[in-house]
Amino acid sequence: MSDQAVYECPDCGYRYNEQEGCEREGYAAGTTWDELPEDFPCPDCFVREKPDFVRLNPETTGVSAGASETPQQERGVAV
Amino acid sequence: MSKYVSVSSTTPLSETAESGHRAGVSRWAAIKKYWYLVSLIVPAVLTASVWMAWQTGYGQWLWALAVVFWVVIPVVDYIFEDDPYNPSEEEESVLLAEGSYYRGILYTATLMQWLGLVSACYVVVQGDFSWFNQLGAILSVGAMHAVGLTMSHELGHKLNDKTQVLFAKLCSAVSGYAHFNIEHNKGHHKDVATPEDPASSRMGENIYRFALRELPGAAKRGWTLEAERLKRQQRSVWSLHNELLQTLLITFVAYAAMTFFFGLAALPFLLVTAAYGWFQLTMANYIEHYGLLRQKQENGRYERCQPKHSWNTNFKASNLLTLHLQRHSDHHAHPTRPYQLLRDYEDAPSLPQGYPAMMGLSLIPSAWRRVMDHRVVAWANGDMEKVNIDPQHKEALYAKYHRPETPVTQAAA
Repeated sequence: MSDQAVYECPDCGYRYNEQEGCEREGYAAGTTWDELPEDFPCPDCFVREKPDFVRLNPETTGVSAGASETPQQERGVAV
Repeated sequence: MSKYVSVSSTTPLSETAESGHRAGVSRWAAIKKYWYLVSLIVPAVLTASVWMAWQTGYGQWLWALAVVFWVVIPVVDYIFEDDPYNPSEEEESVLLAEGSYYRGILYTATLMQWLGLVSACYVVVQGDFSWFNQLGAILSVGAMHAVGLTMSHELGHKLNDKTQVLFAKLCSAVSGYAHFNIEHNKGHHKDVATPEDPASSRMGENIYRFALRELPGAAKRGWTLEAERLKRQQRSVWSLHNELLQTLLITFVAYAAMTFFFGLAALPFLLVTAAYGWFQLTMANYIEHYGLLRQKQENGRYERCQPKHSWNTNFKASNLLTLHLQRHSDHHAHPTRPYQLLRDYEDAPSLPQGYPAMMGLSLIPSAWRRVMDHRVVAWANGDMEKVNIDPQHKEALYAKYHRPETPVTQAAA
């Protein structure tokens, strides 16, 4: 566990950094991922929630390491 | 943070643009960039027409924008039909890098809407026009409010950009629709196409009953969501940090000033036009998700919103006018995509006409249902379990349409 865990919204690319929190939505800096409610929605797009977020690999922050595990089947295709 | 924030490109785009051959952009994309300016016609027509009414004394001018919206646009839609263009990935990066131009249209629109409202208010209050022509002014200003809220909608989705958030408030304040930007993102988008969403219409529900559910339901949800946010920030809901109150305050100051300077008659005019503008936005909400339903999964969460959960319409003219709001399937699947990037999906559920025509149709419930109900049934393959149904009409609709074993195609329906 890194002390700078970063989680990314698989749809819009918003990143939740535990050190920064999300002040505008009322999650103070230092609020850990575990402390966020289960129904925490992406503060940018609001169509993905906490369970959908992908934890970024600390060594490769900037590359969505786990993104390939996230289903994006609707992308570009109307199912 | 967002992947839709404009990217720095290795290609010096300004140079390529000036040379007339913008790298990686097709001819129509290059022209379309300027066609988006058509959206500014709405406040421009209003301002110009009230000025004409003032100068000539002919009150009929006050009807101009209402006629443009309800008659001219549907006819132009009919003539020019669909817009087949979707940007390629390469074009997307160019469109993103030119984001300031596309945002500039929204900022300009916001200022023009304020100008439109102030000039219309002045002319109606200070002029001597018949009740009939004043009605035209109300419908015209209401149409501008509805299109204006489309601009506010686009701005309000870009929560990671302070300038756009500010302009979203200024834009919503024109019609006093203060809860819109909060409620729309955190409420409507989260709950869209579910029975829980007051802003998703149900099959069988007519526009008037929907309005009575949507207008108060959305306002209440907006207030609740903002109160929850402020509680997390340990701030009072009655503070200037309340974004709903911020927008309302702008409206209050502006409406009070117009009433003070133009005369007491300004106040009822402003309130009636605002209320009508809200109702016209309600018409748009009504047509966007009628009957469509996301399924609940075993884990208790609804399936993700996909393009099939919004009615799409791809008419060229009305899409330019509303800055691609009608490419609603892509918008709901990926709400932070800026308007110039929104794509059409050929197999998304499709409305037979553009928004203005469909909104007009919604006012006649029997005609609306004749056009739309069979489309909903085709969308659900005859399985009414998959439809967002108005409980009042559930029994009748099941009896009439529920044939889950025999799939219906849209063509056959």
